[in-house]
Amino acid sequence: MEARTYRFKGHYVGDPELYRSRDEAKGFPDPLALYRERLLALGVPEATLKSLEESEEKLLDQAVELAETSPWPDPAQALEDLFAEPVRDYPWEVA
Amino acid sequence: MREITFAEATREAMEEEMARDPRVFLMGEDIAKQGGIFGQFKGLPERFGLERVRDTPISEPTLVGAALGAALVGTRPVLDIHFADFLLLAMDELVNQTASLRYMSGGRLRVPVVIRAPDGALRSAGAHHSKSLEALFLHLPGFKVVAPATPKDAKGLLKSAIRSEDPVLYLEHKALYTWKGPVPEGRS
Repeated sequence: MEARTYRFKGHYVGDPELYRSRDEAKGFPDPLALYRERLLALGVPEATLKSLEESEEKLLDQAVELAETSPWPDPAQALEDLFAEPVRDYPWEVA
Repeated sequence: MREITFAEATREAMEEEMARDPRVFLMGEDIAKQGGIFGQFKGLPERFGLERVRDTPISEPTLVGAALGAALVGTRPVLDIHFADFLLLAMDELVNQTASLRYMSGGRLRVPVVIRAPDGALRSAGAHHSKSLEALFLHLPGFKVVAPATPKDAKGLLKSAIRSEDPVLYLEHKALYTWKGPVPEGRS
């Protein structure tokens, strides 16, 4: 399978994207926008799409808020979930 | 006590675990039609069919990736890699994915996959078919690495590996396949 696509954002947050012009991305269609148009053409009501978009955005906002308000993990948890059973008797102290 | 070979002991373990748990299946190169290079899979396709004993194309990254995906959706794959040397072709799938996903997901993803690989030198198989890589893999967190020494160990360790909730690298020394030793009868 070959999928021809385009990367709209840089490689990382804060990427200055010196390897392309500012306008380059404008020449490429956004698959999300295309699919939205297609759903509308197929008869999905605008209100349904809007409500889905709003609930997804809310979910993402909640995830960001959870990340920003959560405490840093306890270093003692560094080996949690390495294996199904807890790692025990490792020969160093975790501060 | 009865004596069987190391290869027979691993075959018995596979047969018992596949009969016990329908999620367990076997995949690898030349295992169904040929029965394995060392005869260690003989009789399994006849008993369990070609859906559960699957011959695959020759591409180790694809094999490890496929076993990983199958484990993530709820099966318990046992993947045979022809020779341990070929594990090195699939290091991204093995280390960055298979060994890491439980940890990276905070325990939400589970990867109960067994990767079997014959290692060690036997006759004159050459440098690409003779390596012992257990020391290398012991340094990669997320894998359990086991290497049975006797037929009894081979059977018990393979059964434990299949029941493990974590990825297990099961390294079997080629020179041991024909060795005979006592293995208790009966299942557990």
